[in-house]
Amino acid sequence: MSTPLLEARGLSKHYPFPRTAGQWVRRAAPRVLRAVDDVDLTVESGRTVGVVGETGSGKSTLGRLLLRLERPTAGEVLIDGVSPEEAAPARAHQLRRDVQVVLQDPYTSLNPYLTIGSAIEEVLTVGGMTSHEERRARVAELLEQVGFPAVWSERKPGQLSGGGRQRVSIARALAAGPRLIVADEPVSALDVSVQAQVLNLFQRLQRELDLAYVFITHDLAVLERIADSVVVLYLGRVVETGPADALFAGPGHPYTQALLNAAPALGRSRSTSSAVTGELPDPASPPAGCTFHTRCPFVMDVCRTTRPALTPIAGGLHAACHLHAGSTPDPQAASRPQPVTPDPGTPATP
Amino acid sequence: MTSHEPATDTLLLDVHDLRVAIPSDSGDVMAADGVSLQLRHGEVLGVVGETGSGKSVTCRALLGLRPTPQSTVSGTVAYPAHDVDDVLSLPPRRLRELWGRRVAMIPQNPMTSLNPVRRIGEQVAEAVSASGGPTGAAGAARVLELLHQVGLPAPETRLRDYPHQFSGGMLQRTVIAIAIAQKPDLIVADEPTTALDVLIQDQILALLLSLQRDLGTGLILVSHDLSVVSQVCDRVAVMYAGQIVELAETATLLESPRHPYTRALLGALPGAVPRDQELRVIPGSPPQLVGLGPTCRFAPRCELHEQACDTWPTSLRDVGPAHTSRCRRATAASLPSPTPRHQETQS
Ligand SMILES: Nc1ncnc2c1ncn2[C@@H]1O[C@H](COP(=O)(O)OP(=O)(O)OP(=O)(O)O)[C@@H](O)[C@H]1O
Ligand SMILES: Nc1ncnc2c1ncn2[C@@H]1O[C@H](COP(=O)(O)OP(=O)(O)O)[C@@H](O)[C@H]1O
Ligand code: SF4
Ligand code: SF4
Ligand SMILES: [Mg+2]
Ligand SMILES: [Mg+2]
Repeated sequence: MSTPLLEARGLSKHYPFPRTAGQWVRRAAPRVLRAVDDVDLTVESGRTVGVVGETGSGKSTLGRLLLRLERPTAGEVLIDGVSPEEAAPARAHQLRRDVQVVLQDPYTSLNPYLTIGSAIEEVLTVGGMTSHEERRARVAELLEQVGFPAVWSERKPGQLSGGGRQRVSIARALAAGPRLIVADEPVSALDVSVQAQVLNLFQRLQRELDLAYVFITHDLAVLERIADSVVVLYLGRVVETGPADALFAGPGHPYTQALLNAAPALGRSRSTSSAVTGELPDPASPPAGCTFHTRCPFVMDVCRTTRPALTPIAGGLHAACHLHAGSTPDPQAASRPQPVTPDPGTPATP
Repeated sequence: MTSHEPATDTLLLDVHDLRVAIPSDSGDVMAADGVSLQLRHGEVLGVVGETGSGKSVTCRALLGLRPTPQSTVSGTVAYPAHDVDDVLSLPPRRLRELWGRRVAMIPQNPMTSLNPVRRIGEQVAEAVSASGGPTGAAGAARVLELLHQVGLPAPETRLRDYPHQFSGGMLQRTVIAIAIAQKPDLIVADEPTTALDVLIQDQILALLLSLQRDLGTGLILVSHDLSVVSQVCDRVAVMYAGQIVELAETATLLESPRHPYTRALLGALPGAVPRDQELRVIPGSPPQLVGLGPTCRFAPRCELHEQACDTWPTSLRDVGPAHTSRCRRATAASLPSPTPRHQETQS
């Protein structure tokens, strides 16, 4: 098998969490918040890995770890099978430029005083492009790539709409000549009509430049459109992962099933019951065993005590759920509740 | 008046030609500009539109509120069932009577209606006792009943909590409890789930819909998300630049939209377009709401635009049973398809 473009192994980020006064007095062990906990992830060149989960599930933290904006508590991130920390300086520099970022908020991610041309040029200069002429030409080319006329290089971010700024952020990421872009909720702040523009741009650039994406989103419709494979996070851990087609056709983990059932689908008239009951637990003190057990419709005794491991299930998917614990035959399998497939519901449109 | 419109005596809400002008340095911002709509008892109406299309301003005007003291509001907002001809001209005392008992609002950010330094229990109790409702032991019982009804987990233990101790979903449940405390006939929910995660959004929508059915309340659900609205509402109004551009029963709107903006939105929605098809891009962006004339506001972005559109004052016209559109080119039979000249995609 060829070496993947990016590979994360056993990646964890634990933040120290202040002890309460009582715990301090009792000299309780320092607590940590496991923002990302033992995550594996593989990105092949030219493909898109979608990362999905609720707020606080660790999506952005994972993104920052992949971008090396933060040091992992454990685990490593390899590019072409190499850790930039261990590579020779010149090679390490290149490996870092291979991975670039696009963030959610188009209003804060660009310097308001810099023309969009200079913002892009800055990246080229850092990349060692010394000729002014060459940089100008490249800026024009990059602007064109994201659908702007070259003369717009003199504009300030304030003169652009949210979608326009997001396209500048993309041009800026492209300026480093990356092979992978980590995009953290890049279309979440945009209205639908503008969101379509930016999503189409991501897809076109992928085709033209053979870019890979780690695409972080909480929007399942966006995810289904853009992702080749999916990583579902819950409280910092991967609960299900695998090919997007299989995951959307038949999710194996009750959490993924709940997400798909809860996602509003156009014209599917909804019922008065919800996919799950219960709130997201406090990430600082996650439930024991399977962390989803407090909300899971299929919860069993074992779920409250034993953490399920990621195991292969149908369709090339992997799920961390005791419902799928059986590579060894399980005598109680028949009496076990069957995971529900997403209910297509009653379409409002006959 | 045409035959499909409900008889006036059954109407809960009747809004006619509502206009809200907010003075600004560059002129009056016409945040609502000729909004007319009607709602029957127990009906669920969705309002969709992009940021800045005037949804929130319109919602607040339904409760007789103006965005700034300097704003001017015209038109009428009548609650015929309650003998209110126009909330916009009610004296403050009668307006307060109307709030809570007749119409209640659920805002996008629950903290705009909760007091951060008062306990949850007190704030719900206040809504319960308003307008001569129960106090004391009876009031306390009603508070718990309401909090149970909105699905707040273990409400007995949470009464003394402050808002900051609640999650977003719990705050929204509390605000809903306050809204239904006086059993209003109409709930106006302005993006009640926009700030919430998908599983909590699902719970809140389920709650709103079940309360609406149990209590027989009318509901106006505002959202920027057509998918959300289409799941819950009997009818949908599409807003663009301060105006309703199309209004129809939900299935009709999705199947045979009669305004190019609605059709474009349906083509741009990731969940509505097969994965192997490109999403439709609507070129340009919505106009500033200052100094706009009577002609079509979507014209600069419209794939069906013709010269005649530039001189034609728009109004909501009937294009089918209970179906209205502001587009000059929409007829009961069809909305023309774009000629290839218009179909250049831009990405
Ligand atoms: N620098 C930090 N210090 C302490 N805790 C942190 C830090 N950054 C993140 N966390 C915590 O780690 C968890 C994961 O946060 P993260 O921002 O990665 O989630 P997310 O999935 O991106 O959420 P959202 O959808 O809200 O963006 C949260 O509980 C968060 O409060
Ligand atoms: N208090 C206010 N002061 C000034 N302008 C306002 C105020 N409230 C709303 N507006 C303007 O009115 C228009 C419609 O706003 P709003 O109703 O909030 O839109 P939506 O809810 O559809 O996003 C926008 O142009 C907005 O900037
Ligand atoms: S392990 Fe148990 S609680 Fe967790 S998702 Fe599976 S069935 Fe539900
Ligand atoms: S009136 Fe003309 S410009 Fe406006 S939506 Fe209809 S066809 Fe387009
Ligand atoms: Mg995040
Ligand atoms: Mg609003």
